[in-house]
Amino acid sequence: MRHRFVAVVLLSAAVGCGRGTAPEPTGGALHVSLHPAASRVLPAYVDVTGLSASELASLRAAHLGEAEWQSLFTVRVGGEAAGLDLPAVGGRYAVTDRALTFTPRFPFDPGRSYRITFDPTKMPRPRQAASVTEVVGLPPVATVPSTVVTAMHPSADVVPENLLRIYIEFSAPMGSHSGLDFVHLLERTGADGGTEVPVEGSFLPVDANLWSPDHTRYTLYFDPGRVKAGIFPNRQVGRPLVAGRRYVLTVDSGWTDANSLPLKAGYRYEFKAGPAVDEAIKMSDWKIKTPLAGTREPLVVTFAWPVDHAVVVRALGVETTGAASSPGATSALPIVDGDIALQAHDTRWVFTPTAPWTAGEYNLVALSFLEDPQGNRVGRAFEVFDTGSNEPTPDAFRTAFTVAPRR
Amino acid sequence: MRSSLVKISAVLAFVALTAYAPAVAPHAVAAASGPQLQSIGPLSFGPNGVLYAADPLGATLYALDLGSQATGGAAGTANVAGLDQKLAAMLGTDAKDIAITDLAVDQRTHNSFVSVMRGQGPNAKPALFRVDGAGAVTEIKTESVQYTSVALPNPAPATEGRGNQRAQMITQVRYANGRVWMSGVSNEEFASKLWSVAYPFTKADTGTSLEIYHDNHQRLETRAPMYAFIPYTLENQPYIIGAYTCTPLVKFPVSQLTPNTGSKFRGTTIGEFGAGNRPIDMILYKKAGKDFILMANTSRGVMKVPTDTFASATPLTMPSNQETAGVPFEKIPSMVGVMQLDLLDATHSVVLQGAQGQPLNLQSVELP
Repeated sequence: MRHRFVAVVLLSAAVGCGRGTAPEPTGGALHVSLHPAASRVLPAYVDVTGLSASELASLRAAHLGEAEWQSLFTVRVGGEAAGLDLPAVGGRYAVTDRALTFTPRFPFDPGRSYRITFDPTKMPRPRQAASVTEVVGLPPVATVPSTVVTAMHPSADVVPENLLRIYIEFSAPMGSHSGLDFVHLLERTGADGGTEVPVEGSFLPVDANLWSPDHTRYTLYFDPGRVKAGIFPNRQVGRPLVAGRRYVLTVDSGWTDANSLPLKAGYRYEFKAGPAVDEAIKMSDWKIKTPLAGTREPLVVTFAWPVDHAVVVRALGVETTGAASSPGATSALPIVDGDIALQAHDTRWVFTPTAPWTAGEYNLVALSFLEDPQGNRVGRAFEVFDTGSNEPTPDAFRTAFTVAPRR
Repeated sequence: MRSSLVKISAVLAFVALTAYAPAVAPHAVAAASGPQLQSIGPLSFGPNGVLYAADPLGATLYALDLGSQATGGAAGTANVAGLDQKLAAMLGTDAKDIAITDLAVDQRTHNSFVSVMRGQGPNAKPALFRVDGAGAVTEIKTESVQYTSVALPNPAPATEGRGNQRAQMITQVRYANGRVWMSGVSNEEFASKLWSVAYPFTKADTGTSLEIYHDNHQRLETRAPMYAFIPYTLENQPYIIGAYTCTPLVKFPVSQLTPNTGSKFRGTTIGEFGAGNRPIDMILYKKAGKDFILMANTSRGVMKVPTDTFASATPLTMPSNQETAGVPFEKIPSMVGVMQLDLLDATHSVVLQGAQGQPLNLQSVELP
C-alpha cells in the first residue's frame, strides 16, 4: 500500500471511461487508481481495472445497492487505517467496458487523502484474490499562505464610541469560520500606548454566516447590548469603546481562507474612540457640490460624519425631478445612471454620471435603510424612544439640487 | 477609491420595484423536481411532511416533498455518536470542513433531518441527511425531490464591480396557520425583519416583510435581529414568541401583521434572560397539561419557560438592575453544549450536542 498524491500531468492520458486497453478475457492483476478531473463536467474519479469482461458483465447485471457497492469498492476519507469505523464516501458507481468506476457525490478535496479498497471476493462472481488498497489524493490547490486583510471600514483615526459594525476585507475568498475567535479588541494604555489590554466580550456572539457572498468581506458587530445606553450589559460593564481612549483591532493570522490556509500575516487597525454619534442622519446637514450642465463633472456630497461603507452603495442615488408623483413614492423614477466612489473615510460620495448632465432640477435620493456605522438611519437614530406611533417609515428621503447651465 | 465604484442605477431601481407587489390574481406555483439549492438551513416541517428549507445564498425558500426518501427507515431517531464525523466521512471530507446548519424532526416518522454545508468559503455546497430509529444515516438525493419555492425579499441584486456584498442570513423558519414565517439578519444594515408568506406558494404572493421592534428598558424602541421564534396562541389570538441576543423574550400579535411597506410590527418584551448570549432554537411542548418552551442558547444553557404567564405578563419597560427579569424560567443543567434542538415526540427532544472542538452527538433527551 502506497501513499501518493496524483500528478495531474502523469495521469492525463488515463482520464476518460472506456478508453485504454480492453479487459483480458480471464481478468488480470487488479489496480485501483485516482483520475483527476478532466473538465467541469468530468470530475475526478477512482476506478478498478484488471477485471475480466465477464466479471464486468456480471457487475453490470447485478444491479447492486449502494451498501453492496460500498462493501465491494470502498472509498474512505483519510490515509492508512484512519477512519475505518466511519462510513464510506457516497457517490455513483458505474461499470464501463474496461473498469468499475466511482465518482464521489462531492468532488474529492484537493490535498486530502482517500483510502480506496477493492475486495474481489465480494463480486457477484467472487474472485478468490486478496483485496487491493491504495491511498491516493489530489494535489493541494495551494500550500503557501497568500491571503491578507486589505482594509477595515470604518478606517478613520477616530471612530465614535458607539460604533456598531466593522467590515473586514480580504484579498481572496476566506473559509466559513466565524471571526469571533480571530478578531480581538485591545485597549492601548500607558504613555506610548505600548501596553495592550484585551477588552473582553466586545462583539455580538454570532457565529453564523456574516460573510459576503464571495467570502471576501466579514461583518463584525459590536455587542449592541453593550453599545446601547440603558440596556443592562451597558449599565453593568459599559461600552466596549470609551471616548478618549486608544484601541487596536487585531486579526490573527490563524484565520483560514477558502483553501484552508492561514493568512499570510495578521492585521492591526489602531484608532482612538471619540464622542458617540447618536442622532439621525439629516440630509440637510450634507454639503452638495453641484456640477455644470453639459459636463460629466461629479456630483460631490460631503456627509456630516462617515456613512456605512457598504449600505451607502445601495442606498444613495440621483433622480430627475417631476416623476416622483407622490410623496414617498419610489417606483418608476427616472434614475440617473452613473458611477460612485467613496472618499475621505466614507465622508464623501462622488457620483459621476454616465452621460453629461442636462440643466435642471434633480433629487439626491437616500433610501430609508441608509445607515452610519453606528446604526443611525436617515430620520431615525439607532437609539430612539418609543413614540407609540405605527406610522410607516417613508421608503426614501430626498434633497433637491439644481444643475445650472454653462455660461 | 476604485473598489467602491459601482453602477448604482440598477440598485435603486431594484429596491424601488421590491416595494410594490404585483396586482394580479394568484396562481399556484407548479411543483418541480430537483431543487437547485445553493445553500441550506434552517429547516422546519409543516403539515403532511412538507419540509421547509431556507436557501440564504440562493435567496429562496423551498417547500420540499421528500416522497419515499422521508419514509422507509425505522421509526424514531437513535442516538448517533460523532454525527458530524459520520456526515463528513459520507461527504468525503473532514468534520472541520462541514457546518451543520439545522436539525428538524418529521413528526410522522420521528426521523431527524440534518442540513449541512460541505466545504469552506464560497464553494461550500448543501447536503441533507436523514437519521432513523436504527441510527442509519442516509443522504437525501435532492435531485429527485419534488418542490415548490418562493424567492426571498431583497436578494443581493447584480451590480457591476464589487459594490454589493450584501448577504442575508436566515435564523429561523416556522409554519403556522397557513403561513411560513422566517426571521433573518443582514451582514449590512442592522435591522430585524420578520417575513411571512402563505403556503401553498402562489405566483402573486411574494410574502410580507415587516421591520419589527420591541420596547426595551426606558421604552427605547429596539430593532435587532431575532434569532429564534415560535408561533403560539395566547387567549385565542395568534402570536409570534421571539428571542433575541442578550436575551429578551418578546411577543408579537399576528393581528398587527399588515402588508403595508414600512409598517411596524411592534412587540412587547415580557422576559430578559441574560446578557452575552444568543438563542439557538426554541421548541414548544406539553407536560402535565401545561405548555412550555424549551430554548437552547449559546452561553446560557437550555432554559425551560412555562407559557401560562405570557398573556398577562407585565411589559418590561423600566430599567432593571437584575440580569434577568420578567416571565419565570428555569435552567436545565443536565443539558449542556446543545447546538441544535427539536421536538422528537411527546416526551423527548432531540439535540445535537458536544463540547467545542469535540465530536457532535445526536441524542434524544427526555423533556424536562
